[in-house]
Amino acid sequence: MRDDGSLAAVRLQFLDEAGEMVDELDAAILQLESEPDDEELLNRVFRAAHTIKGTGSTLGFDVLARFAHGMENLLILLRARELAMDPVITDILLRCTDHLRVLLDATRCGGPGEEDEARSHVLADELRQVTIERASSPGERVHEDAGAESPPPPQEPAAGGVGNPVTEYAICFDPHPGFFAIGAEPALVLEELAALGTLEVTARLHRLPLLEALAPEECFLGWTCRLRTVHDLAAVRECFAFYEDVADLSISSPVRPNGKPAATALLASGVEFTPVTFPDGALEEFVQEGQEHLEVVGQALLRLEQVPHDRDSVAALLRAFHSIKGAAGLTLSLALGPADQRCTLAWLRDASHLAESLLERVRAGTAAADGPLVERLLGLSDALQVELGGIHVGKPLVVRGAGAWSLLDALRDAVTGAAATPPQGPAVVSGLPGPVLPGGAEPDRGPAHAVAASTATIRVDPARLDGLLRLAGELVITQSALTTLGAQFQASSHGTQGREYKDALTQLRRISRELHAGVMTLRMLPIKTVFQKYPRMVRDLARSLGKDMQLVVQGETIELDRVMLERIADPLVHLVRNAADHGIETARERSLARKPPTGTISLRAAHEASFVLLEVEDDGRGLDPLQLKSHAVAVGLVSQARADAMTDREAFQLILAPGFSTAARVTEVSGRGVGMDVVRSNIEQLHGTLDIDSRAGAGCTFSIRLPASVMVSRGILVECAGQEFILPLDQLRDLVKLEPSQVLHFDAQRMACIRGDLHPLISLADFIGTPGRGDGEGQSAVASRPSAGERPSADGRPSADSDGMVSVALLEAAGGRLALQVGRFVNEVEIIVKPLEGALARLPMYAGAAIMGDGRVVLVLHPSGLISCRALPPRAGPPRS
Amino acid sequence: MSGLILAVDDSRTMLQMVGLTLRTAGYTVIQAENGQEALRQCTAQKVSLMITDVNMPVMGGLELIREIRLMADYRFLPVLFLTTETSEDKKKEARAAGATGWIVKPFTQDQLVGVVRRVMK
Repeated sequence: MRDDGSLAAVRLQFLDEAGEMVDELDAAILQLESEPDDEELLNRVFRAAHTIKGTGSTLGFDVLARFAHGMENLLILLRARELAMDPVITDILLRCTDHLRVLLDATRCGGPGEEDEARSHVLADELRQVTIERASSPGERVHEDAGAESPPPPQEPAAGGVGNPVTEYAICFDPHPGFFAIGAEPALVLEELAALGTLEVTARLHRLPLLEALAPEECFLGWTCRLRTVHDLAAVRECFAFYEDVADLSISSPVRPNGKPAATALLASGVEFTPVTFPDGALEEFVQEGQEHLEVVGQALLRLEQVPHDRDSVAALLRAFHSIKGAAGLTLSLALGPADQRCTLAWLRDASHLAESLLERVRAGTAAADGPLVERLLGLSDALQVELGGIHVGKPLVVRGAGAWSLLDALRDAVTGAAATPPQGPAVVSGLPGPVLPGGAEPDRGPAHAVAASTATIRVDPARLDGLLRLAGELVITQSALTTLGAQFQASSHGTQGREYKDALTQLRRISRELHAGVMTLRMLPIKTVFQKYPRMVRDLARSLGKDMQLVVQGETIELDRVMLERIADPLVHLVRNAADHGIETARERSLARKPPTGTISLRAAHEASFVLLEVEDDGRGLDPLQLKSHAVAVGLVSQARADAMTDREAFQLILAPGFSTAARVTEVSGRGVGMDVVRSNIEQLHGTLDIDSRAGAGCTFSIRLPASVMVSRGILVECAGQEFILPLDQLRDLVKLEPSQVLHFDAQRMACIRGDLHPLISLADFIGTPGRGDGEGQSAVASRPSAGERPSADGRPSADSDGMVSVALLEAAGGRLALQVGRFVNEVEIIVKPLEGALARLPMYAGAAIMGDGRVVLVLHPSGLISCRALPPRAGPPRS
Repeated sequence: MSGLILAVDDSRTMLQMVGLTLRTAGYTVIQAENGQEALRQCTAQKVSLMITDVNMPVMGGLELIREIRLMADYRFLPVLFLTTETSEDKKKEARAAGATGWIVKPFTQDQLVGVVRRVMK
């Protein structure tokens, strides 16, 4: 720079000028003494000090500038009339101007010395003192010098940026319409941004109005930018330093180079990252509500697809989107802290609003409620689901979907009618019509297909519910103990007291049973909650597999315990996908087989005795037992002999074996078929059963039977071979004591004649082994009672208990009926069945264990497990170790 | 870079400093000592950027900005104001008058040039 010399000249010039100003100051101060209210004088005085301060500091005359600043503070108060001119102030001001002269002279001669500086401080203190004493509100108008900084100059482009990690910023810059009116130029802003690194810019046209409405002097454009830079956030912000109040701006840094998400929270409308909090539970409430509305949206869209222009569906959609919009907006307004227009909630609100607008056009008749619209809205609802799922308390509220904002742009275009075609969805199979119903009939939608009248419900925390259930359970046990005690009490007491006690106990018993049952039902949920995502799933499968398929659902209102529902959901999904992938044939195959072109998958739920029956049925290829058998033999699962001996039904069960797969190729949809054995084990863990039936070429049915409730509250305590067991009452059809003559023999199989019917009779003792033979199955806990004396006899003849009769319980379960010989019946009990854990859970004969009133544990038998085990020959000899 | 810059300040020193810095950077600079003078200059020549102090006699900076925005040719003129304060009120006031940006005194020459580049092509 050639101006070292010139700068010195400027400095000198300043000193002269300042000297003049000081003289002026003197004069003005004196004049003020006699005309204290003269506005012009006050201004002049102030300006003089102000200029000396400003220019002085610019030129580096710090001591001078600081002193002038001290004067300025007082003069500000004077000018603002918060301080009145008086002799004391006049005096100190004049002393200040004298000192200014001294400083100026000193500066001319190389700079103020220590003495001068010290004097400056003394005077400054005096000035402050006077200000504090005199001013009405001295503190307010005094301006601190510290912190006054110019915006730093634009950054030089990073030269290599060695050692600095490259960060990527996503920037949304939306100038307000009045942006140009302040002389600002967006291109310059973007250029400055570009100088920081690598910049990609996309213009956002969403605010661009139609030509008639376009005011050329207003800004309607916005820009989305991705900047890769080694500079930090402050540098990026700097580019927008002047424009925070005239633009909507958000800067987010989604990902750091090491892949960790940057610590952003909601963004303020300026450029700050500010953490924002919501009232307790507000976000969770919103997420839950949002998902409920999205479910309605999903169902309505599927209906609309099948019945285009359906008014009810459109109305339902409008309501749902309107609700989401309202909830999002409301939750956003609850934010404590500056909220931002780029956060997830705002996006959800805007997206819902646009959907609403689109549907309004439909309702007004200016847009069609047909396939393309459904596609678009399905895509939107998926995006909404993604964003909704991304809301977590404590995590950033940043929109996650890559195309989320451009999706909104596309929606806006659609609303303003600019676009004619829907956005490209994934795996849209062209040329394939939507599901065609055979004969044009409407699908059976199940009981609740139109706008569901909302039943009054409240939300309950599941943990509390479980706690309540535990308490109710303990109540039942305690009540049971009381009953036992009561019996003893009654036995030893006489008269009315005993009777009253008994009455009270009966009452208590009734109440605790009802309470327990009532709480149990709270845990029940309609299976609809699981079923409702299937229609969409099947639709998407139909698309991606290129097959024509429809789903029919029945029995959605059947209720199951919530835990069971959770665990059965995955197996059901697997079965449905299997049916879609392997079961239903292609359109061509179906027409060759003279089947209706649309394959049908049926999902059914029903009550059956004490079970809930869930069925997945398809009208596809079906299973060929011979093919299954030969494959099983080929992969070494069974021997040829065994295969030959199998019934068709047993052959179907082969597909559940691990390692079995007839799928010629691995499909993305259902994989290798290894899932089937997992399906079976899942069902077994729930103490359910899985049956498979099929007719080759016609279809296949998978039947899952689950116990209607996991816990059984009533059972019969029985004794057998010195041990106690409990038989659940609701699978108990009959309890009889038979004469030995009523037990018949057919080869090795005994049969019991009960009320005229013959039933296979097995002995419980045979299952558990015999006491005293080293099986160690626990000592009898009822040693004090007369032993049942049940012993299997070597010749197979029935042994009898002490009165010569054979105690038989007739069990009924899914697999059929079974007569079970026990030692003796003890009494009816009320129990809480606790499921067994670990390896014990695999034993099919036990439903669980119960804790009796006195604390002892008794195993609860599982009739259907016993029934399925009867295929095994009874154990005749000592148990294998 | 050939824009014409108008520097407005009642301090001749400041005018000199600003002029010096910007001429070195390649700009052409003209000066005025108050708002009224500045308006005259704007009418006489086509100005591309105005840098003005706020506290000036006759017509202060804010009034100047308001006036300039009313002139058809200068509705979108970038205007920077010089201030020794960073108070939000001051900035709001200036923004309301129509200022584009600000420079806080004291400033370095680099800072001045940087801000000028930010608002002027």
